[in-house]
Amino acid sequence: MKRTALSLLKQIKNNLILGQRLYLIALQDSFIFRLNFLFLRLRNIFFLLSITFLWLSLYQDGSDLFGYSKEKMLTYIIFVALLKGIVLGTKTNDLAPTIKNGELTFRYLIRPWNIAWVWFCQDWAAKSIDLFFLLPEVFFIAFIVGFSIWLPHSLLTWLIFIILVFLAVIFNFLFRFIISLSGFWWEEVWAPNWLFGIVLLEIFSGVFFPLDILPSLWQKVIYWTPFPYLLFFPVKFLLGQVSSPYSVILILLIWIFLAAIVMQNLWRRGLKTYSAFGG
Amino acid sequence: MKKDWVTVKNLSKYYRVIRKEPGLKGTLKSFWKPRYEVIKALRNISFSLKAGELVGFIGPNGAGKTTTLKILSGLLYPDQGEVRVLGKIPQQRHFSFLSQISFVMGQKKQLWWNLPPWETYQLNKIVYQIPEKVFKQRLEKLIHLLEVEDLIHLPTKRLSLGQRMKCELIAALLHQPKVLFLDEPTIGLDVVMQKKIRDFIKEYNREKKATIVLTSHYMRDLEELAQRIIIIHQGQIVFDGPWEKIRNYYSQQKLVKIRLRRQLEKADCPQFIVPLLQYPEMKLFINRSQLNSLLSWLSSRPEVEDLAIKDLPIEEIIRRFYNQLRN
Repeated sequence: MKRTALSLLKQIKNNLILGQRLYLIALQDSFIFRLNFLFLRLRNIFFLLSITFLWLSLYQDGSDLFGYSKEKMLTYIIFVALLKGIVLGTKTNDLAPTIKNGELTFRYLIRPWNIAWVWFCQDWAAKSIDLFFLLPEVFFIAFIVGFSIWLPHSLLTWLIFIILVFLAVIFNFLFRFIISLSGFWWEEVWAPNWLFGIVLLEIFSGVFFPLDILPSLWQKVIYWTPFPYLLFFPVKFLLGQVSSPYSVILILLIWIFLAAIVMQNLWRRGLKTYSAFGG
Repeated sequence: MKKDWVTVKNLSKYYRVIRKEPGLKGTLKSFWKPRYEVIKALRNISFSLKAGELVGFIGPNGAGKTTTLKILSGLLYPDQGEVRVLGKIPQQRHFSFLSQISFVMGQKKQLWWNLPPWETYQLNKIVYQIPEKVFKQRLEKLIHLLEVEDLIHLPTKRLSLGQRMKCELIAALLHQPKVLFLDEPTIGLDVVMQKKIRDFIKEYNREKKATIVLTSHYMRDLEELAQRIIIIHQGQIVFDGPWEKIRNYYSQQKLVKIRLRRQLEKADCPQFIVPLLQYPEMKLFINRSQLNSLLSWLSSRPEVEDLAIKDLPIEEIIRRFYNQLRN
């Protein structure tokens, strides 16, 4: 008993060391300068600026809109922008091309390690880089609106918020991994990536606007997907507008559970298919 | 009695490929209703390898060499038959199995492209749980043997093919695998580099008593390294044994190389030479029984400047072996 516990601890320790190394490798690998990078940042700043000014103009007469005060709406925009980096930031998109070009075999399958863990750790590199650029960008926006943002004071609120974000990070990873596994079956992988990764994920998670400004039927439909629990509900909770955060946690846990099963299954089948076509 | 480290029993492997008729119509048709064709990559092959054995796989492109290696390392699933490597089923991908093997493929890379090889070595140290001290010793030795001291801190993409291959080998050997699969490890390398890699593989096999399976298009590689060869042809094993055995098949034949001063007149030549006439150099494959008469005739010809008699080169032996199979 004591022995298994010890070997388990050792295993955890090894995986953490491995995770750290993978994180550093992915970080260096991503930081190789790409012009693309710069455009992406510019796009993000323009997006943030335009959405901020749009809401500012709507709030001109001083009354609340859709149950949000001006202060809370600006807080929503800023926190969603930050969370987008932390939660949605990912390197796991690269898994699909890795499957396609055969690198999966010689870089990943041949080593005695847990491949999901490997990609999860690499995700954190993408998140760090996103955050590195996002912080000044968001600060800039906050500066423009004169720091009129709404922050909760309760420590418990922040604690629950962190748990929500952590669960959202895990779900996002599983979701991206599943999408990328389409590389086992489909020649072109940008289509599912675009549809799921950008359209569904970003709109339905509330990147562009708080979801509760939509007609209630739309809201109901969207709340049946996992996406609003990634950004929208955590930020809404921070704004004090979610009465039972534990149900959000529960829903996220259920989605994580389901996604993990799907992922396992697809992975196993994918490897077999890969094999049938000569991978 | 040495134990078998690799056993393969009645292994078959099929691939599905999509058959498409030419043209737009064919493309649309195959989009709606893809027609699959089954290619039999391996057909009922069996063999076993002992600890420390170095075996060469020979076969034309598409014969099934790489497929065999991929199945042995657990990367592909067999359709029929049984495979055990180090007592394990490779496809289960047990960590205890994966950490005792390595697979190097000439044109595939396990090194991170943008980063120096050193980063990959550090990663492997953690993945294979090699203690720091041991790791340092092994790395130093490998770096020294392969003469890559100055290279391992350069980004991999800056390295030439040969330099990269050496760095790949280091990555594959840091954990000292008991079973090593090498698929065309010398492809695209110059002769000097080929020799170096060959010597290195030989040394590793001798020192670590590792089982090595090697494929190569360069017969020199195999001739020098492998004690035993397995020839695969159209998914089947057509020969399995030591080099001598296959050489003996053809030992009745000799290669005679002749250098001429002047062109030989057709009318002066014995019948069987006429179709082979060339200038200034001729290569004749001759049966031993014909050798004496040929030599005595050649010695009387003033056109002959020089001549040499050799055993058949290995490429020729293999070529003939295939030809024989076809007939």
